[in-house]
Amino acid sequence: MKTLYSILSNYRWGIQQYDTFLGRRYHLTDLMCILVGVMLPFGEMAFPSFVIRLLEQDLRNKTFSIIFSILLYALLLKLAGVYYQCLNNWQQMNYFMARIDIATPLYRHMMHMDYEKLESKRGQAKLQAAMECIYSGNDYGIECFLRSFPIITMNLLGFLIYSFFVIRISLWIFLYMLASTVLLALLGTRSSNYQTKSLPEANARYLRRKKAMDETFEQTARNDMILYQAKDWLIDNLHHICREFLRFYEKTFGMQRTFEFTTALLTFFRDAAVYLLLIHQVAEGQLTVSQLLFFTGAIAGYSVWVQQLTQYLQQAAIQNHMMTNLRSFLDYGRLEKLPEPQSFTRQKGEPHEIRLEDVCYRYEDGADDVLSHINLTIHPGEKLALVGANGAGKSTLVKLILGLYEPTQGHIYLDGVDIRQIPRERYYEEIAAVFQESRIFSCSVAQNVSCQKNPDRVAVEDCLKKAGLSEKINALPQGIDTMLTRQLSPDGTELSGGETQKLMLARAIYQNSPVLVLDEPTAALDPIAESQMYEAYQGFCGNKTGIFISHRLSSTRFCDRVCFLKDGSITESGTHASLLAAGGDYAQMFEIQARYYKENKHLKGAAAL
Amino acid sequence: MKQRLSHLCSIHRNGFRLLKVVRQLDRNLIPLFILQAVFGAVLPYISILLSAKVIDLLLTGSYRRAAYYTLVMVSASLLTAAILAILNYYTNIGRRMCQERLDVLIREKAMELDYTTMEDPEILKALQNAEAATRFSGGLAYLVRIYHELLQYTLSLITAIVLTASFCLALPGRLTLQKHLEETSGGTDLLSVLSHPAITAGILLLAWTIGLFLTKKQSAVIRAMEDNIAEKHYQAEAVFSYWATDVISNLESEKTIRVNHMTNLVDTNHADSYAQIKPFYRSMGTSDTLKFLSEGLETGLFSIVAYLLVILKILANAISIGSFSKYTGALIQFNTSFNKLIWAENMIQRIVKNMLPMADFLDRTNQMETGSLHVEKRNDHYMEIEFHDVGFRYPGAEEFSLRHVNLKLTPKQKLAIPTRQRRSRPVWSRQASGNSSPGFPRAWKQ
Repeated sequence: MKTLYSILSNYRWGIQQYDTFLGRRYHLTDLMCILVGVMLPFGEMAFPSFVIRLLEQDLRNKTFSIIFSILLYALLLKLAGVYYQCLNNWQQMNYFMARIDIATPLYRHMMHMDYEKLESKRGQAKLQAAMECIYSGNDYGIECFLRSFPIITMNLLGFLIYSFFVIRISLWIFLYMLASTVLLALLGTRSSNYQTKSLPEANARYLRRKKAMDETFEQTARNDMILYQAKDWLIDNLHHICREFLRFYEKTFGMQRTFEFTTALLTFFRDAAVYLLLIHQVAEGQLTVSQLLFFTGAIAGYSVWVQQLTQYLQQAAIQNHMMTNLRSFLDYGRLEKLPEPQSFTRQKGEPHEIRLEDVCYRYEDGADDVLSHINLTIHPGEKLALVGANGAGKSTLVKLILGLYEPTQGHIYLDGVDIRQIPRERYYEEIAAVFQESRIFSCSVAQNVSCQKNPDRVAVEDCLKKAGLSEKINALPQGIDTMLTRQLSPDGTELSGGETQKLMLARAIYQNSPVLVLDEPTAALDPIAESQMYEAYQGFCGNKTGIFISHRLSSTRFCDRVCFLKDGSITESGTHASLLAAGGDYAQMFEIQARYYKENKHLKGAAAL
Repeated sequence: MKQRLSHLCSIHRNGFRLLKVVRQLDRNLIPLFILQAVFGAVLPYISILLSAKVIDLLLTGSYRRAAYYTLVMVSASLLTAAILAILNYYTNIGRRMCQERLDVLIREKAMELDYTTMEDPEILKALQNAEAATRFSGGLAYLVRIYHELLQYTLSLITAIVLTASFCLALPGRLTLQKHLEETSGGTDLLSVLSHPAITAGILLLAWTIGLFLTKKQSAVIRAMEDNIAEKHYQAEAVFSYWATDVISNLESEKTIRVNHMTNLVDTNHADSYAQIKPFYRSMGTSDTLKFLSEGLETGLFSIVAYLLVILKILANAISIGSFSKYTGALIQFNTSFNKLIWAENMIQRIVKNMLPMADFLDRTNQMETGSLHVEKRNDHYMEIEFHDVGFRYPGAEEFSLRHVNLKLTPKQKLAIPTRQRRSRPVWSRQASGNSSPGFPRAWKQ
């Protein structure tokens, strides 16, 4: 994985973000953690030596002062220990709370970035990687990365202070400890390199595992599982996926075991050498017993500093990749801020003309054009139906018109102005769209209709009435303030498919935009409900410019014009009657859909059952 | 007291019920944790006991023996650390494997159960909550780890009790080592009195009782806080999950947000949601801080008393100077182990309470009536299905979705069921396929 940003650059950026959310006071906690974190182990290391030194001396008339000194030292150590635990806890909470906050700029970027880039495979992969930096818990990502630095500083200070004592014991011991540190660092690097290299594969396996687990628990899939007795096959599959997922951990834990064993072995040789050397010096009268205790404590402490220093440096290096992913995503897909073009004016209620001029579109990884040389003018106030088989390009064309995609060739004009020149926010004021996958959010009915935090309540009620939903909403305990869905509110209300579509209609009415786009909004409704919905839309449309996408041809009958899409091109265009008379693909599709409602079943091309 | 004991038994009965599930998933995990607990309990005492011996030998000038004991000490540490490294590897893998197998087991059970049970919202909610709680607690193997800690602290406590007893029983003047103590006056008598076994044991008991009283009081308060936090934790995580997966990283949502210019609404509502859950997360930090302060107070008080008594014993010639770290270590370990046992009990109680619905789910059986009659098969595999006065009601629903349905499908017949939406079409198909039982007689397949 190529790192675009250095560790220091990511650290500086991360700290800037954290300073925005936390202020700068948390640095004081970090500083205190460093200072106490260095002094406390030193005090603990020196305590046994201090006690032995006091008890070794002449105790005449000093009993009380000796007892007092030792107890005071012990009390101070205890207080410092508790204070350090609390400091550590506050530090952890600071870094954790800011991690929650740092999701906000990520979300804002996602809502404002180029939709096409967000939807692309590359964009989704980048998004996934960026979210891992924030949502992988306390031991990964930005929280772990930024927390490593005060810990690295603390260990570095400890290392430097203790090096002074270790060199005093013996230069050879110091060199041995440096060599064993290098060896352990190499082992640790091998482990961290493996983790870094295998992180994408591990994540992919994790997602595969999660998807498999979620799918086998879906109620909608239960029918098939039971009917086709797929249990054994599915369970075998799950076991296989879990075993694949665990392989990553087996290797990681294996490396950890090697590391622990090597550490134990190196510690054995170190301690044996140090103890024997110091005992020899005590025997020679060069050291006292209390000094021996002090130096053995220093050696043990030194190992801990060095081990932790290498561990956290490696950790910072691993997490640096996740930081890079986050920053890389935040830089990806940024849209230019455009001023509103001078030539684009709108009179309230005036319908628009939409013109597509030689428009082609190809997906990022696509080999062929999905839409090819589309030339289409939708006149102001015209109702246009776009029909075609699955995969003809209808939804892609709609996304182009909505400005969610940019044509790979050609232009799209709104009243003669290229829509690429119009700021997106401004453009969406002119268009109301209802999609097949209607999204209701976990907020009040009024907010879902108005799409605003503080809606016009009278207007909302009026729109609900026009959409035929006011009776249902008025029956709810809190009326238009009732929360929808139960995801954030256990008392929330769930709407049925038909009621959801009525809510979408109410939303479109509230927006009152001069262009209305309906992308198969009634696909999941029964024919009667669908007919009622289209009648409602027809009543609301008035003089608006309308684009209706459907593969159910019954919904085209109220449109002024029908365009038939096939393999990315408009192959037929005209009124419903003229296209039927022409006997082309549109007529054939209509006949196939209509034949089961006719008495005469002997139709040209109809296959017998 | 009886009630408390009965409550404790009930917790551990349920705990063992969950351990049975662990055993079902991996027979080796529990024995491995037991071994790990034994070695984990032994390791601290190796250095405590042997280092005390080494110091005493150095103080008495027995340098050769001191070197010998040093080698024994570092070799024993190496052996124990090596064994622990191997055990850690297998327990780490075992923990992961246990969780994976549990997830699969739950899904396997879900596939075995009848449709009606799996559509019961109460059952599903309890299961989802238990799964979430299991995940937040660190998985089912975390329960094994808590029992492992219980065992480790118990073993540590037993060892500490033995050492504490030997400490208390050490008589003043037992050692003839420090010759300068013979020349002290006045203090020797006071020291002898204060370091008498009965006095030592009495002071220790008093300090321990005060510490125990404080621990129990504090642990009840903190446990209530932690239970409250545990209950709200996955609700808070559900809020995160909603915004992260259902809204902002959902492409359909992003499309809707853009086209309906809902950016401001989503941004504000998201900020409000987070503002509501942030105090909860801060309370987690507060609860941890209280726990540290509480533990610090209890153990600190006992530690000071322990140091005092050990110094008095040393000054009174009851124990050697080198035993300072041995006995202070043992006394502190005694108090710490006891406190940890109390906290571990709290933890087990919470984990068991959260995970029990999952064990209940795994014990469920398929409620569908299935007979053992042999179905007479035709050569062309076509069957006849008859509904005879069939009705059906969803679990928890007041209204019947199907009422008094009588219908017969003869072989090779094609039946269409055109209805409006929400007119029980799915119920029909599930009944006919045998995926759910009718509320009253009977769908026959012959």
